[in-house]
Amino acid sequence: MFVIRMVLKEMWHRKVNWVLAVLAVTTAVAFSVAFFTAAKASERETARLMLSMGYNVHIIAADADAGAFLINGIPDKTMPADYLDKLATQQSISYNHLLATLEGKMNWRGMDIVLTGIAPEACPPGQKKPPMTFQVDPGTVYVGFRIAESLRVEEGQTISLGGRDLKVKKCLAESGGLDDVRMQCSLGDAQAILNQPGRITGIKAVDCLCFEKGDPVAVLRKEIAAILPEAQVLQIKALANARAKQRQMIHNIFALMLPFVVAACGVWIGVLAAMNVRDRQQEIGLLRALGYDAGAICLLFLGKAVLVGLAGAGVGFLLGTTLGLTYGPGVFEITAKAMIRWEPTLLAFACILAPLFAVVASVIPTMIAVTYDPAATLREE
Amino acid sequence: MLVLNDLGKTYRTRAGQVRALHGVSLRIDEGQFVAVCGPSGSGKTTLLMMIAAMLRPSGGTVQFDGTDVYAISGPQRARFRAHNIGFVFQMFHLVPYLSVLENVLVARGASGKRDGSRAKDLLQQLGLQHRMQHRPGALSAGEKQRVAMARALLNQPRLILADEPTGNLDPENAQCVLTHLGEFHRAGGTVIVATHGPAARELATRTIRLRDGTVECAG
Repeated sequence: MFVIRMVLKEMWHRKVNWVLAVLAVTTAVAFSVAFFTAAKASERETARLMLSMGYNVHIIAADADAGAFLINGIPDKTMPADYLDKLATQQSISYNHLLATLEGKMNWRGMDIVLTGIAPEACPPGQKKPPMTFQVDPGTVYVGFRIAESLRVEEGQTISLGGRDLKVKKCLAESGGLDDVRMQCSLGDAQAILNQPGRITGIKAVDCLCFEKGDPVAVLRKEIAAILPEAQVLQIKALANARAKQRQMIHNIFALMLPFVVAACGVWIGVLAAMNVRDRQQEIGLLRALGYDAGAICLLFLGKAVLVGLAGAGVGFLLGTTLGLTYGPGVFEITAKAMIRWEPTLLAFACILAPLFAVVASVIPTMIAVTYDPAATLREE
Repeated sequence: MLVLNDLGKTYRTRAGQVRALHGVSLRIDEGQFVAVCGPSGSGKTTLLMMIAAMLRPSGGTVQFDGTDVYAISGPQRARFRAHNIGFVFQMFHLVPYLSVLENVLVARGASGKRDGSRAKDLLQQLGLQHRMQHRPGALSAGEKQRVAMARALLNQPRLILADEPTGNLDPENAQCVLTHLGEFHRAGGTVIVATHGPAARELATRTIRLRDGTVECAG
């Protein structure tokens, strides 16, 4: 306990050395925390952008005509609705945001439209995330811009579709695409209207293979072949690539800069520790003369490093989070404040890794301290 | 108590080898007050460091109660020092961030006992009761050396090694330190003082004179 007391008193005595060491750890931790926070916000930003771009993976029936699907945007074959449950209960798959749909063309009030039934979005175990699209309650319908404009449909109206009464929840803004001639209702309502009970035409999804080195589609197809052999996978490359590149960019910047910052801070701490050891040569010599063993001398310096690491972790986390929360909204304008939030798990990581980092940076100076010849240091006057 | 047999020490420097001590054979009995004299560079400090089990000799042995102190392990030597030897240095070597009382208690580090009453008694005997919570930076040279004396006496060692303990002190403080060394000797302790001054020699029961690393006169 006396050695611990000595550590605390020495830190108080040599405040500048201690403050500079804490500053080094703070810099490393703050940089890491700010970057992790920003990277998380970037992920959310990407996900939010993807929401407007749509899902990038389509799983359709194996016997569906893929060419026709690409031309029409609607699969010509159906598959069992419980395929969604099979997929959503799989551990460690490369798909997320699973959205089962049943789509079909029909004529309504003299206009050709697309009817899309949507099931609530599902996520595989351990990958739960906020849904990327709106949920449609049974008995309600979202009406595309062209349909609403041409047929004078308004929000709050009740319309009859295939003999089923649906309340118009919302008339959607113009998209310039197929959504403008689409009506979206719950999966159950669509199955009744299109007379396809227990069937779906596809499952939309987002892949989690942004950092996959090889061909992501091959990985996706291999996984589906094992789980749903009666299905095939199509990936919308442009969307997938945009998403992957966005995530890789943040990841690459981080991977490039973090080692430099951490190494620089490590050297900084090491130099300060070496200066501290040099300043305390005679103290070390005295303690060795008084019978303190190598373990006590190590504790004197590595104990200080642990305290420096803990202090740096706390201050660095606060600083990094504050920087992320203050400047993040300016960077991530779409998700802004709602999506940039503090990451409590980073505090736990910082409290473990920062002391370890400070200890590693102080190991060489500590070893030098342990090997000091007490006779030589005490003779120097 | 202490037997030095053909003790020698050679330092390797860039300029070549320097023979600091050679062929030193001495026997020091318990209860002696030994003054080690000689000009600068004669090997006084080297001899004290080797007796203290802090400087391995190039040749010869140091036996304390029949045990070769350099034949035992490093941790055993550390324990040996903590239990048997008290040190007083010319430059005091106080820990700057500890209070006077803690600087005395630091000698308990290895033994682990943390009772402060003996440390306080010693500081009182040395006239430092009003300085216990002060840092070394606030003390005069004489006060610092008295703190070092209290630290040396704390573990009730059998041997005190003092390297020029009065070298940086005014006559009054020098006398105070020598008085306490004398009291320790009268109480049965063994003292070995490396000194230039005549005062310690007057107090000593035996004088050893070194010249060029050899014993010129063993008293």
